[in-house]
Amino acid sequence: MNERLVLVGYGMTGHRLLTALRTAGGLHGRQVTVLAEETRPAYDRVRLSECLRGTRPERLLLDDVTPGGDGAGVRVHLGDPVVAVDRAGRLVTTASGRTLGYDVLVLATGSRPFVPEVPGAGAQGCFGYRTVEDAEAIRARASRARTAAVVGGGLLGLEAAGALRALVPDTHIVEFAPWLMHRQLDEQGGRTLRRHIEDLGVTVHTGTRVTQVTTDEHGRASGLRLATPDGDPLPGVDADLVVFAAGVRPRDELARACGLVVGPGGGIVVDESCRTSDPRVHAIGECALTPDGRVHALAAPGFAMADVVADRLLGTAAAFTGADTSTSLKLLDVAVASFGDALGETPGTHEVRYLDTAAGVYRNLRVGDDGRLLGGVLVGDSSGYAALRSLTGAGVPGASSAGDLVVPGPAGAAVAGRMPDDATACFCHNVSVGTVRRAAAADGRPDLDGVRRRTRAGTGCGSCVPALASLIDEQLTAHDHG
Amino acid sequence: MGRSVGRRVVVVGQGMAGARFVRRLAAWAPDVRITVYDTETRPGYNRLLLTGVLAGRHRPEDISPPQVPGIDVHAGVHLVAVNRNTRTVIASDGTAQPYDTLVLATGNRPTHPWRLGRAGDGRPLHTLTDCLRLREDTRKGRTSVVVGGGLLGVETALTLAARGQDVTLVHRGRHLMDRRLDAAAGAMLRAVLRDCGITVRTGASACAPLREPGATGVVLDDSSVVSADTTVIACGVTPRVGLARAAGLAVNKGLIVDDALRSVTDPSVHAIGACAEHRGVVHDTALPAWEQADVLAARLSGHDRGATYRGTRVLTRLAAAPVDLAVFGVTRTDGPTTRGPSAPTRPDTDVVCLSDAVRRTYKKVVTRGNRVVGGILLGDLSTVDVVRRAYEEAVPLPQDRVHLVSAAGAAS
Amino acid sequence: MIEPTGTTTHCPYCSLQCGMVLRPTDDRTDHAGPPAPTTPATPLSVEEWPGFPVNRGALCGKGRSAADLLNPAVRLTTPLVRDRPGAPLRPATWNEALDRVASGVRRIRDGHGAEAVGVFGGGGLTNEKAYLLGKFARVALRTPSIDYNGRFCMSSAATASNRAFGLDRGLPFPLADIAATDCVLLVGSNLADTMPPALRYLTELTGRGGRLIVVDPRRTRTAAQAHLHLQPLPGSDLALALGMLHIAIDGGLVDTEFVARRTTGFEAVRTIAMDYWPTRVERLTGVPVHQLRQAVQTLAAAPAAMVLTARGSEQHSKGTDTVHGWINLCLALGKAARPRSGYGCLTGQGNGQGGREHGQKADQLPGYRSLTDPAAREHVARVWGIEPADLPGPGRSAYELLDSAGTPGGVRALLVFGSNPVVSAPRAAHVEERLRALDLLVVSDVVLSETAALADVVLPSAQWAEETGTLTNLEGRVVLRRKAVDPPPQVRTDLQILSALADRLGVPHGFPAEPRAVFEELRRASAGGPADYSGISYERITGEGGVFWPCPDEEHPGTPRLFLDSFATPDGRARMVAVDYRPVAEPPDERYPLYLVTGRVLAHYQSGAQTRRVPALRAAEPGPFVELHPHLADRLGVAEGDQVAVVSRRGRAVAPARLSTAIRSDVVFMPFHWAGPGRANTVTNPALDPLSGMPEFKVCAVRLEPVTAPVPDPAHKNVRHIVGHGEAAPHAAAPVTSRT
Repeated sequence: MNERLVLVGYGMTGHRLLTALRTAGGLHGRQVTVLAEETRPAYDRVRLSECLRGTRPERLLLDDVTPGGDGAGVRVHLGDPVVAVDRAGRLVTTASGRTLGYDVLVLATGSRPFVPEVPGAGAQGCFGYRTVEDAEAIRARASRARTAAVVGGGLLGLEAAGALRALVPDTHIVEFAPWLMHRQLDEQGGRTLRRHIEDLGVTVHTGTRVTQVTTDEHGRASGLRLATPDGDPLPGVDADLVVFAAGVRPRDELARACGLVVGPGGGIVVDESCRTSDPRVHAIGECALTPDGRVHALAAPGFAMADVVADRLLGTAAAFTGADTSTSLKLLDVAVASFGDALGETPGTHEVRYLDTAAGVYRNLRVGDDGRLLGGVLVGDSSGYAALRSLTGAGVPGASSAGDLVVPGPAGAAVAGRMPDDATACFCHNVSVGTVRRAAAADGRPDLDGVRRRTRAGTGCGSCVPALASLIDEQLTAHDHG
Repeated sequence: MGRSVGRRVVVVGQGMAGARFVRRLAAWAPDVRITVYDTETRPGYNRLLLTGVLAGRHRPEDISPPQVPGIDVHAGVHLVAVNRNTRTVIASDGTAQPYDTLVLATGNRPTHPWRLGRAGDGRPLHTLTDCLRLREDTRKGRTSVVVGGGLLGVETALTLAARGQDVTLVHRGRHLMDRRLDAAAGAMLRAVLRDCGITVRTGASACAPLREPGATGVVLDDSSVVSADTTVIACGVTPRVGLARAAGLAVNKGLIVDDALRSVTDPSVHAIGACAEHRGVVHDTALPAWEQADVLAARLSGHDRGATYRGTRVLTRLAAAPVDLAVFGVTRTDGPTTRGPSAPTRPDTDVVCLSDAVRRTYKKVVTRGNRVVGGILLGDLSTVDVVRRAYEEAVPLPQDRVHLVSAAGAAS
Repeated sequence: MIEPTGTTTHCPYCSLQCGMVLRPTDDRTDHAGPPAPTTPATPLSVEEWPGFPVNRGALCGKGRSAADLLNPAVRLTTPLVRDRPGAPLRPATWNEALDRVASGVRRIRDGHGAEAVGVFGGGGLTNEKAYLLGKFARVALRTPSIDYNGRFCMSSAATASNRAFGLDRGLPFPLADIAATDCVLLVGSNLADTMPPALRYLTELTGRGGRLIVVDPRRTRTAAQAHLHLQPLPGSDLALALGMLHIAIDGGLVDTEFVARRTTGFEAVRTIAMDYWPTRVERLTGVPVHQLRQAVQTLAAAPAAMVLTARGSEQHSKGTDTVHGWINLCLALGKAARPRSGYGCLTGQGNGQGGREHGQKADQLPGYRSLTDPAAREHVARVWGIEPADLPGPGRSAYELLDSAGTPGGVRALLVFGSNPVVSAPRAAHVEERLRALDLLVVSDVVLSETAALADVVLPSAQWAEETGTLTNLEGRVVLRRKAVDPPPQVRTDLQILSALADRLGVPHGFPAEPRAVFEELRRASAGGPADYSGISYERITGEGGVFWPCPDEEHPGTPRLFLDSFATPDGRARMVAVDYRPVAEPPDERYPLYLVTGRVLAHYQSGAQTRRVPALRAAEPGPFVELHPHLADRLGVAEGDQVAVVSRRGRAVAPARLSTAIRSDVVFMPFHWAGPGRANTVTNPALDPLSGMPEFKVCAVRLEPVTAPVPDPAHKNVRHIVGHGEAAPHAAAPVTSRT
């Protein structure tokens, strides 16, 4: 009899699980059912801010994985969240009353926006920032708003603010931490980023907490009361639109209700194979608390977990051993990247820093005692990012040192050609530089598509594509000279 | 020959400025009568080469240029008075010498943290005599303490360490060379000194020599003791302007001179070198001293009567192996009121900074608008020429500023 | 040595004098014996001659395309005369042309004295020509007014070498020794572009683990090969050399034993060097202290080392002193007078070395003798069959000679042989003006150069492959350039021209037209002189792959390596000359804030009169350019390819911008191979070295101005015009640039 797989949640992580299974032929011989709360098929949540800018939500949809060949189909029920799990009976029940049996249950319930418990946080004009519906509601409100405040100066908040600034005359960011993106950037990085954001006309308040959302006579949000982290009052700001983008909390309520072990701060406890305390139940993505004690709220770790579960289902012994939390993006036209041990948490790290305040460029590489590159922060100019990230954990190649690589421009980018074989080229699929080189060498005239096909490198987040291209170039050049 | 200025030139001091001036003047105006008074008994010498003497690379006689023939030199004699009315100087040997032009090149003297004199009180490293004594001391002892972590103190500590001394450097400021360096550069310099085996104690004031039987060294303000066989005082210098002040010439930190290097009080009196204050600046390094000497000699000899001195934008250099350091202009952008390291203090101030804890290099250039106003190059001076030109010649900077701190980044 | 079939000969260009084989392109292998000279209609091909030791078969693009110069379409094929100032040049017979010259010379001599007739020679002339030209001036014209363009080349190094070593030979060792030494300090030479076949000796050196240090304001292709590249401000080399000596003294690196035993003058040199402490030198030169130290340590640590200079360090108003600075450093470190060590000058022109040894220099007589030395005058006068008292004394140096043209007390007639000063002299617009002011300008050349175009009489002369003669390359190796083809019918050799002119001037004997006869006389004239050729014969040269002078008799093996036992001074010790730094003659200021450096490019040679006529070379580098740093371009708003004017106190030169990070941002570079608006020497400064007469080609103060209006390029017009002249109607009136 076919194995019954029930997937709860159809976000990016859940979608990744299905893609991974299908790629490996794992849908065949399985009866897969997806039960989703959202009314849309899986979409690219990373690009949510595009919706704020007016992009039609359909354009964010991910590949449809439901039609399968050889009778392998995936059934998807949208807008019908699971409300109960009977682990003993291996049954789930949905809001619409549907009951389904499972052999394997995968929870990919994701997270919800964190909204601070302050008076007025639920007022009209206050929004979370997670779903297409959120984005559409914010956009509708923004068209009438004069001032907007985004609570949260992390990635999500900055993206929201960036989109709002085109819609609302006066936009503020309020961040509790002493600097922006403090999970990814060090202080100078945060400060450099702040200058860019301020240059765009967004007012930034760091080291600031929201103590109240004030409302007008109609109960609509009108402003924020602010204070220092210690509670000393600060001047407030007007805001007829408030967006909470101050982090997320795992959606673990279903797991709690059915008695799965949940972490004290939330998150469904899983082991290296992403199994919960019930061996038939897996949890992946932002709802899971992984063995490193963290809830990973980024796409890449979620993908990694999905891949682990797919591999397990197919009988291999893959393990989630922590994920690369590297980030590289254009945030409001400012390049921001953070990778590896970006904040130098490893004992004995040395800093190699480059700062150009006029250009708004800050780059900081962390180097271990043994000379290995451990991680770094790049703001304003992320040239060489792919190569630098690939070198993370490996020795700095050749005669160059981090001091050469930290300087923006060709010196940093040129390093790709000298990457050691054991460096990682693609983090999404953990493909080494040597593997890419061998794949490129195996093709007579290697190209990016060929290398992608052979190695899977570059088919994840795509951030390593420049590095792949230079490795392919290296191979082409070797051919020409040989 | 500048006959309008006078034919009898009296020069006081034959340090870097005085000796250069005399050589230039004698070459350009052989018929001028030059009289030199110098408190040191040795002939003039190149002070920059003193550390070479300390390190044993030069014999004392190697660093003295040959005496200019035909010059009347009174060595070991100091002046007791200048009578500006009669244009006469009175020397300690009782002689009087009339002048048409008086050139003061009296230099500076080391600042002492306490009265020196007795053995174990320590001594400065200022004159050739100091240098020879110190060389002798370090042959006998094994440990030294250097009091003062400015440029000279750091340089001395490095030289002593290179001679195999076990060195402790005591500095009152919060970080090394705190009047010139920002905190990050100071920390990097400290790491470099530590690599050289030097113990650095900052935020610690040496307040007295250690005077206990059988023990020498210094006592710090927290009552702790640094014992050492040799104590070197490097607490800065003060312009020697007593004679000028007594003669009623305008003196601030140094004798105040105009662009002709003339005293603003008396046009027959000139000052050059470390005793002169020009546009509010007292230079105590060799290059400005030579520039001033050359300008004055050109004016007085008639070689170039229109020569003027407009100041020197000088890069202060520390050049004691293995440390390379250049520092100039505005470097401190990390005042206590600002938010963190390297943050500009003025809105139009920017910095470009490359700091490498692995290579122990720290390079920072401070700009205002598109001009360089200051900088620090520590450990790697490969861009010094580009930076110097941008600073000295006030050439507008291009958008791209990597080249100021990275030779690798500039070449492509 | 194995002789290949075909004619073994030597390249027409630089001082390497690379060996090559010329063969008619339709040469059949069934030829027996040496091939007969072919007619000009038969094109020759240039082939490798691996057996020649200097270049071992390697040739650069200039050498490979050299046969194109024989193309009648690009060259002069008949004498030309101008009927009156302002009239066009028209073809003439040889008789008419030579009569014009002789009568003009006589008239001017009668009216203004013998010294009013001047001769201007070239460093590309063979030894025979240089010799006969000097003799012609002194015996037939009886004028002291002779000098040559070699004055613009290596006269500073020559002067310094003579003073320091008692002898001037470009390299005191064979080029191949460079590959075998341990460290080379190469100053102001971009031999990767200027003499590419020599680069192999540097790459062999570095391949063996030897160190290469290059001093150049630009990161040239040569500098890019170096382990250490010092990039000083133009004109600051002497401060650099003094600073390096200071560091050597300070670091105890001086070879005191060598200095004491083999040199004199060190104490005075030392005293000056002490004034050049590192940070001062850094400020004067722009070279960071750590690089100075590294250079000195590398040089001192090498068991054997060489210091080689070229025009970059020499073409300055203090060029001689600068060379002394480098020689002093070399001597202080004990890197001389031992195998694989020493100071050398990389001579530039094809016969730059031989050309300065045999009497076309204002102050010299054959055999590298001094014109003021009574014994030398006596010896040469005897060979020439005249009274020593009848030998004129020393004359003006090259620029002074040109500068005097047409002025009271200056020359009124000038006979130019193998030189193009309108392009190659400093402050060239002024020189051109002076030449226009002459009563008589006669130019003997292969092509209608910019100088020939101004002449009253143009004499078409034979070139390298059309006549036999010896040249002395940069090593002091005398080589034989052999004739491979006959010149066109209306073309004569310079020796024939001199012989005919002497005859017309009433000196019928003593001016043979046969090279061998001239060489035999040269041998006698040089005998006993510093550059003694008396043991050298055409046969020995052919048999031995060249012979190194001095070679006092036929049994003498020649002297590949000089000074091993003793320097050529009276006491056998090298002189360390106390020299002090002084700034450039024209330092940058607010109006002219930049340094201009001039130099050469790979595809062209000297004034370009030859190479600009070779299609492949013209295609490789079609015109002048201004090289500048992107930062400077950014500041001026100049983009790649924009026309920019380089303006000095003497004029402006306009050329497209070429952006490069290889140059300092306070320096611009222009190659000097072109005439017209892009003529670099319009801008250069004729400030002269007081000892050598070398002009300050290498540095002057300029500003850059963006140019908006398109500028026509008459250089190209010239080329087209001359091609047309040759192709269409060789005997038709040639409408060339007229004199006013």
